[in-house]
Amino acid sequence: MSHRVFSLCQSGLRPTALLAAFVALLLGHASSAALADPATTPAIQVQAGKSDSLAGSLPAGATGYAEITGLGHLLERLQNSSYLQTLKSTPQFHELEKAPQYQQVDAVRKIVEAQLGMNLWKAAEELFGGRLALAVYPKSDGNPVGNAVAVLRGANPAVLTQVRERIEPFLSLANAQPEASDVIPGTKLFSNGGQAFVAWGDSWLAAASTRELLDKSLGLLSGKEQGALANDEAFRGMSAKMGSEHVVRAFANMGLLTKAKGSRLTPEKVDNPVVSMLVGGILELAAASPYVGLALDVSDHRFVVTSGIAGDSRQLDEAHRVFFSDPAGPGTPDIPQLPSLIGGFTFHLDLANWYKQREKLLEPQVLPGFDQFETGIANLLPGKDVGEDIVPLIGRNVTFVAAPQDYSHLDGKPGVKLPGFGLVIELAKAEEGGDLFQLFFQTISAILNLASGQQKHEPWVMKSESYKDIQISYGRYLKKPVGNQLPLVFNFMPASARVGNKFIISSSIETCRQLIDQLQSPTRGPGRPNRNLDFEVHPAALADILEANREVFQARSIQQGSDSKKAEAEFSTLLELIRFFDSFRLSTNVLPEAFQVQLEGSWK
Amino acid sequence: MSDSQTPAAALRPYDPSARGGLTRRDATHLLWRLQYGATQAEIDQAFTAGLQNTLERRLTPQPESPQFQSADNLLRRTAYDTGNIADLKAWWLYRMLHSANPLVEKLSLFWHNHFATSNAKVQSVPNMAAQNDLIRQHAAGNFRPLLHGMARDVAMLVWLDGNANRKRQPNENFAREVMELFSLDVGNYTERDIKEAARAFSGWQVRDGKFWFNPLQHDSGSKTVFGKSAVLNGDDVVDLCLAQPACPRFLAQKLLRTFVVSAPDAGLIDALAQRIRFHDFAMTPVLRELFGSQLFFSPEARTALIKSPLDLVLGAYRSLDSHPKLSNAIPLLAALGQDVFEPPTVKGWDGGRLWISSASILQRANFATDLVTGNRLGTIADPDQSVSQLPDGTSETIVRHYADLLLNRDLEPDVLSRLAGYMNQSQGAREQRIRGVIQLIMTMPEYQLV
Repeated sequence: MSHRVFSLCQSGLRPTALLAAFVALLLGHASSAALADPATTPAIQVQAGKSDSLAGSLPAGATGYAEITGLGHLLERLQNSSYLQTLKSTPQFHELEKAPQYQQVDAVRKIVEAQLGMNLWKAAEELFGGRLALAVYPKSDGNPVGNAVAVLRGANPAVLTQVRERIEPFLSLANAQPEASDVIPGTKLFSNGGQAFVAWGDSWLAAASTRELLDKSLGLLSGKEQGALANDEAFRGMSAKMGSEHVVRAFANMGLLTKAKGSRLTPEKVDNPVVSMLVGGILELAAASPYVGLALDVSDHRFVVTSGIAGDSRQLDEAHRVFFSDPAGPGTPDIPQLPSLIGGFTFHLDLANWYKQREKLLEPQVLPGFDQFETGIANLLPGKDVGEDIVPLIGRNVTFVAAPQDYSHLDGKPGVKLPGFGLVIELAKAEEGGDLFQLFFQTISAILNLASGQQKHEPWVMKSESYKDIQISYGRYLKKPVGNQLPLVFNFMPASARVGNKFIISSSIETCRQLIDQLQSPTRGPGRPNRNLDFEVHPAALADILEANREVFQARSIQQGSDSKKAEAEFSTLLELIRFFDSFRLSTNVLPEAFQVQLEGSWK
Repeated sequence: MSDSQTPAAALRPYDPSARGGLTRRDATHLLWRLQYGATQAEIDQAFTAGLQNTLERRLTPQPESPQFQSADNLLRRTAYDTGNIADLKAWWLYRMLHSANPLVEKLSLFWHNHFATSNAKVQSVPNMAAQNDLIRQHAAGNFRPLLHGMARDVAMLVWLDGNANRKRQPNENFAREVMELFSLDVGNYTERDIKEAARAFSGWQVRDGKFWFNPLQHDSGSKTVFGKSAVLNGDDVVDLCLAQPACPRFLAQKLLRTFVVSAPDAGLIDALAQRIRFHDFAMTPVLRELFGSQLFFSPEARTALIKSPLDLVLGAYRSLDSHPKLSNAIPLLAALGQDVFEPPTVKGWDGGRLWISSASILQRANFATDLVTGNRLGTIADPDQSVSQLPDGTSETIVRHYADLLLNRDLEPDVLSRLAGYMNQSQGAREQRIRGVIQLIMTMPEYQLV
């Protein structure tokens, strides 16, 4: 067995960029289909290599780390996937092939393949069939990621040897002088300025930005040294919570990064109320967390990206606890599964307390906006104070759904067909909150009706009906607008209802009825794990609503310089790509000692 | 027109054969006035076909290609679907660039400026589109039905307050403009004529989005307009306007200013007015005579007009075989002062010298830079490919090619030398250097002329 170590000029080796490209490739490849609850879905079988995690071969003290397992297998699947074939058959790809930049890159690929004596896809599959890991370390100048080590293990020995033999002459040309290594007998070390080092054996390769890091890695690889990253406390914590076998695993040591920065990593306050509502809690938890971990798992038709942040949300101060539901409970409710649901969004937030604590959570410059908001609300609901009378009536969960719109209020349809929507607001005080929102709904309806009249559109009257013992208020045109290219505003005809402690506002009476059905008899059972936020998209339904507006999209494309045939082909390709996926879901879970963000997708 | 020529003689047919046949300069000049810009292929085709064939082809309705019809329908339906006037603008710009009948589109713009109506008040894509259809239908046809149709056009009635013109409270807006701006010009009518005409148009209203004659609000009494007393209605007033000698003069002056020379003299105006009267307001024969006249091909008429923003932008797109991003061109055209479907006032765009200001000349130069070197406004055809058909690839030949295509004139020797020198000495790939030359040519003062 021969081992060699080379020192390369820094510009020639960019492991971080390489890794990013691989991850981008993987994420770009993955698409979605039907979603499944973590509780009911079997764990994904990872295409793991034969050896254990490379964290045991990387020196301790890393501020960041990423490891890919079985990348070669994924590349093989990517190469053979129908998705890639679909992409390659698109007019856009054919156009790309004609671009000079593409042709230059393709020419370089051919030169490299000729030099290596093998196909690059094949080379990548064979070289990355095992594990590939990268870790970054602080530098003495204070840069927390100034040094790096990359280790590849489990490569096909024949392929690695062939690649090495073909590359070595070029290393010599670049004045990379071989030297002996004391760590692994027989290993040669090449030094050229001492800025980057690479060493390889029959089935492994190691590269580092310093000789010291490389020697430590070689020592760990050969089992002669102790002090691996795998033994760092934060890393062990991450492995214990998230497991060690994933297609991709990444880790950031928040303690070391904070120490290197000299202050907390995330802002104490944010300058956008919506951002605060959605990620204010995550930012706070991450600031005190020892680590942030990330894992990607891929199976035949599904991928899951999971990110974990250590920390108990119940230990946060009062202002930041508003973002988190009780880890012992279900958290936010399930998204109502309306027929042909396009997508939905539901999240937990103690809005009343968030509103009260806004000065602690938000930058001062955004606070005057709240005063303006309160003035506006006061015009709509005279005599009510937002903080005291309105927000406390709202519960801790809000749900939004998008589904095909019902046009029974028209004698025709709008020119641009927007998706219908429904908003379900949980009420802290059912009766009082219901009355207030009903008043709000009627006031807004009256204003919209006036505005509609000013634009010479048909006025509507407010009507009501009883549906399954629930009273629905809705608008109805005095005379149904006629036509198949009606203005945008005719998409919607508002409706509202209260079901127990939930208030519904929807864009049509039919959507309102469907929401009542769902709220009275939810289709998903209880007992699932906690969810603090849930967002799901159903690509098939999304494609349908896009298809309904095909002409508008194609016209936009022509306005941007396409001809009509190309515009049609582009849009058809887009729909085909969307329909390739089955589903996407982004969810967050509050656990007793951690917070988890999960992105799932499935494809056909 | 030479000094020795009478105005009537200036409108006599131009005979290219007397000068050795139609030149490429002649062909380019003709195409630039009949459409927005011209590709090299179009210039070559016109040069080969000759004056009469080229003119007849432009004046005779040509079938549109299936691809054009498909895109045209799509863009128009989208404007109706969205109700957004920007989409209707994009539709019309697409027609101006890609229709097989570009003169019809140019004439449509001429009449849009004549009957200037803005969506800023009308607020209706269907009504603006319907008015545009009416204009297009008669653009190269007869002015009589166009003026009559405009008096009943919904967008016009909204624009000039038709619904406010009632029997006991006549609104004079339309009556005033039909005389001042649509047929006669100032000084050719009296205030009494306007008041009486307003009575004649009373009750011409809009109901449920359509023209509606409201008999209860129409003043059916006797009126006196231009000295004629009778029970006149709106159509009678339109006919009386058309019968005035000032009417063909007004149209002749506008046609000459828009298509031939910036400041036509009275003799020329009278001469063309006679032809308009002779053809009883039928525009095609008038335009055939005008575009085929000695006046049109005289040195005074060549590159004698300042490019309108549409001539500048669409002309560049067409001349350089571009893939335009129309949605980005619309705000640019507005910034340059020509926002179709939204003229600034009821008088439309004054045009001419007013197209150029210290601000707009910079914007015009920036447009050239954006189009030639960027992709925000679209992309031009690959210059390397475009010059591959030239007899040789020398810098002088390439510079001459683009000077012909974009300026329709010979460059001064030192200018030619400096542009060729720029191309020889500048850095970058050949294609980039050619783009640099195109950009420099497009920022020359001569490029602002058509």
